[in-house]
Amino acid sequence: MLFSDNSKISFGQLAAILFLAAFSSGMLFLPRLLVEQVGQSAPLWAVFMGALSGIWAVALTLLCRGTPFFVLLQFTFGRKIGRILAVFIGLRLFFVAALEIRLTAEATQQILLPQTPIWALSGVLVLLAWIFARTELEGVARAAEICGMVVFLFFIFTFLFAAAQALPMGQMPDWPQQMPRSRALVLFPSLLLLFFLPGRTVSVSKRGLFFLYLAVGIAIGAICWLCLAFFGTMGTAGRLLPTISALGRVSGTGLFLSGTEGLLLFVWMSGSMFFSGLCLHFGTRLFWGGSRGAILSAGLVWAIAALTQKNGFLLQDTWCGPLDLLLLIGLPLLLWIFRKKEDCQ
Amino acid sequence: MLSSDLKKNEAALREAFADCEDVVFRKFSVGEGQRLILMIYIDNMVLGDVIYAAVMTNIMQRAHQDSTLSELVEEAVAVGEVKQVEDLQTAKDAILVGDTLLLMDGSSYGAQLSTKKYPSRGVGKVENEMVVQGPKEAFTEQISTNVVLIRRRIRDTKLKVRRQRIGKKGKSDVALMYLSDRAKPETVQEVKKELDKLSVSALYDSGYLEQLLEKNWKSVFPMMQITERPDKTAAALLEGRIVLAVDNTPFCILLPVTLNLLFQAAEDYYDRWQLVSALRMLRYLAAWIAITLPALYISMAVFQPQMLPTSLALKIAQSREGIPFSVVSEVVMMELAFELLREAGVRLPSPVSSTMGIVGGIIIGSAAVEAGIVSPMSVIISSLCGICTFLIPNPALVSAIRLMKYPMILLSAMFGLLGLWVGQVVMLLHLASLKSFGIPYLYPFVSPSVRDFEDLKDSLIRFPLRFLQRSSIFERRKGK
Repeated sequence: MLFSDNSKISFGQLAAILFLAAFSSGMLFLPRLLVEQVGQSAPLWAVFMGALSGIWAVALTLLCRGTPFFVLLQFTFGRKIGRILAVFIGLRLFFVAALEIRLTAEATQQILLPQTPIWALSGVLVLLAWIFARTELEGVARAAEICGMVVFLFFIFTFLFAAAQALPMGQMPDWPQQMPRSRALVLFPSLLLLFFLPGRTVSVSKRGLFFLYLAVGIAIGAICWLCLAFFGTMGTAGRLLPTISALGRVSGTGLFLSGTEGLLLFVWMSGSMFFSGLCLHFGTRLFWGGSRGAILSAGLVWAIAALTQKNGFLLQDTWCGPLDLLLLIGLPLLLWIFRKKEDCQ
Repeated sequence: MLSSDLKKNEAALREAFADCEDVVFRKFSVGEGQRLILMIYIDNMVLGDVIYAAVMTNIMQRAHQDSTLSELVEEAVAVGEVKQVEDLQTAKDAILVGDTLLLMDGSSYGAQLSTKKYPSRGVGKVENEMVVQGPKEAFTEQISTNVVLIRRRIRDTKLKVRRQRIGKKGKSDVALMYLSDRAKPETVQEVKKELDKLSVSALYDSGYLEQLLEKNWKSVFPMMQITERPDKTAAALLEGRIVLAVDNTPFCILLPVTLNLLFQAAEDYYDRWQLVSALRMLRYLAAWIAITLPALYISMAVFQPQMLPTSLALKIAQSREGIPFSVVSEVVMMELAFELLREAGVRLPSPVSSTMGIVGGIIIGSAAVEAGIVSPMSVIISSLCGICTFLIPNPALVSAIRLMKYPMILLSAMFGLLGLWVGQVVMLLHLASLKSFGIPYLYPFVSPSVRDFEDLKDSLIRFPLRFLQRSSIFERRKGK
C-alpha cells in the first residue's frame, strides 16, 4: 500500500484501534462487574466473552461486506427508516462517548484531582475527544498503533510483575456455574466501531479479528484472576477500580514513582480517549457532519457527561446492556433477515 | 526581439540599465573598422581575463569584413558555454546572471557567453552538524559548487540535476536533484509542480523555499530536512529522496522526511552499531525529557506530590522554602532565562558566546539560588532540558521541541498530570496526522509492516550495516 494513494487504514491499525477500545473499557470495569455477578468463575467468563465478541465481530464484518453499516441500513430499509436508525446509532455513539468520558473524569477526580469538579474534568476530556473527532481517521489510526503498543507493553510488564506476587497465593478460577447479566457485556460497545471501520480498512482478516477479541478476553481474564488472588470476591466487587489497585501493587524503582496507579490510569485513559474520540467522529458524521457538527456533538457529549446526576457506573449499569443487545444483536439480525429475504426474491 | 540595428539594441539596453554604473558597455570595431561589436557585462561579476584573452583578442585577430556573429563565436570565442539570444529580456537576464552579451551590427541575435565569476568562499568546514569521525566539508553559497560536491560522491548518470530560476526579481537558481532509478516519479513530479507554482520575488535561503513548499504550515515540526553536509545529501539521494539546492545558501533541502530521520546524525553510519543504537535511544529520551520535564516537575510538585517517594518530596519542599514565587512562575522564569541566554549566545561572536554560556549558566544560576529567588531544583530542571536539546542533531526539530515545552507547562499548571497527559496525547495525534510528501511522519514506528518491518532496522536501533542493504520506503518500487 502506498501511503499517499488512499485514505484507508491497514488491518494492523484497525486491530490497534479495536484493542484500545475493547481493552481500555474492559480492563477497568469488567473484573469488578464479572466478579460481582459470577464470583470465582469471572476469569473464565472473561475469556468466553472475548471469544463471543470475536465471533460477533466476524459476523458483523461479514454482514457489512466492506460497506459502512449506516449506508447498508439506508439501502435495506429505505431512506426514512434508515435515517432514523442511523440517528439512533449516532445517539448510542454519543452516549458511549459520554459514558467513557464521565467514567474517566470520575476516576481522574478520585485518583489525581479530588478538588476539581467533574464538569471541568469532563470538559477537558471532551475537548480532547473533539480533537480526535476532527483528525482524519488515518491519523487517529496511526496514533492508535503507537498508543496500542505502549498500552500492550505496559500491561504485559506490570502484569508479569503482579502475577509473580499473586502466583504463590494459589488462587484458581472456578468452572462457570451461573450466567453474568447483560450489563457485564462491556466488551460489546467497542463492536460499534465495526459498523464503520471495515469499510475504511484495506483488508480485514476475519481470523485476526476473532483472535484479537479472544486475546483481549484472555487479558481481562488474567486481570480478573489477579484481582481475585489479591482481594478475593468481596474485595474485588467492593472496589471501584480493582484493576488499578491490583496492578498498582507493582512498585517502581523506589527512586521515583512509588506506585504505578497513576500511570495505569493514563494507560487506560489513552485507550478510552481513542474510543470516545472515534465515537464522536462517527456519531458526528451520522448526525451533522462537518466541523460545526463536531462542535455540536462535543457539546452534546459534554452535557450528557457533566450534567447527569447519576455517576457513570450507574448509567452504564442501567443503559449499556439493553442498548447494546438491541443495537449489536437486534439490528444486525434484522438486517440479515431482510437481506436473506431479498436474496430469495 | 532584438533588432539587426546595433544602435537600437544598445539604446534599449542602456535604457534598461540606466543608473547601473556597474554594467559595462564596451564597443569595438573589427574587420578594418567595418563591423561594430558591442560587449556588455557586469563589472567584477565576470572572469575579466577570459573576456579580454578568449573573447576580445581572438575576435579582433580573426574577424574580417564579412564575418557574421555566429561564425565569430564558432571560430574565435574560446568560452565553454555559448547560447544564442534572440529577445531583449533574455539578453537582460544573461547580463544579470554574470554572463557576457555579445551583439554585432547587422545581426538580429546576440551571443550569451558563460563568463560568470561570483565572489565566494571555498568549501568550508561543517559548523552545525559536526561529527567526530567522518567528512568535515560543508556546502557553500554557490550552487554549482554544491552540485559538484554531490556529483563527487555519486558518479552515476542516473543522478539528474534540473535547474530552474525562481523569483520574479531575484531569479534565484534552484537545483532539483534525484536519482532517476531510485526516487519515486510521483514525488519528483509533485516537487516539480510545486516549484513551478511558486510566485515570489526572490529566494534568499533554503529555509525560505522550505516554508513555501510545505503543506502543513501550521505545524511546528519540520516537514523537510535541511543539511549542510554533502555526505548526508548523497546518502539521502541513494535512499530515493529528493534534494533541492538553492543558490546563495550553504544548505540543501532533503525531502520527504520522517521524524526518525531527524533523530539521525551523519556519524550514525560511521560508527559501530551498538554505540549508535544506544545514542539513538538516548536522543529520543532526551527529546522526551526536553518536552516534558518542566511540566512533569510542576505536576509532581504542585498537584501530585504523593506520587513521589517521601524523601524526594521532602527534599523538593525543603529546597523551595523561602522562594517568593510559585513553582509554575519559577519554572517559566528559568526556562525563559535559558532561552534568553541561548539566543544571546547565538548572536554573539563565538569566543564571547562560550563565555556568555558560562557566565549565564553558572554564575547567574548560582547567584539566583543563593539570593533565594529560585530553587536549585528548577535550575537543575531547566539546565537538564537545555542539555537534552543539544543531543538532537536537527536544529529545526530542536526549535520545535523548545516550543512544545511551553504548552505542556501551561497544561500541567492547570491540570497537573492530567494536563501533561492531554498535551502528550494531542502531540502524538498531531504527529500521527502529519505527512511529508505522502510518507507518514512517524514512519517506521507506524505502519512498519508496509515493508516487512525493514525500515525499523534503521530507527531506534541501528542494525549492523550489512543488514541495511535493502531499499528504503522512499524508493520507487521495482517494476514501476
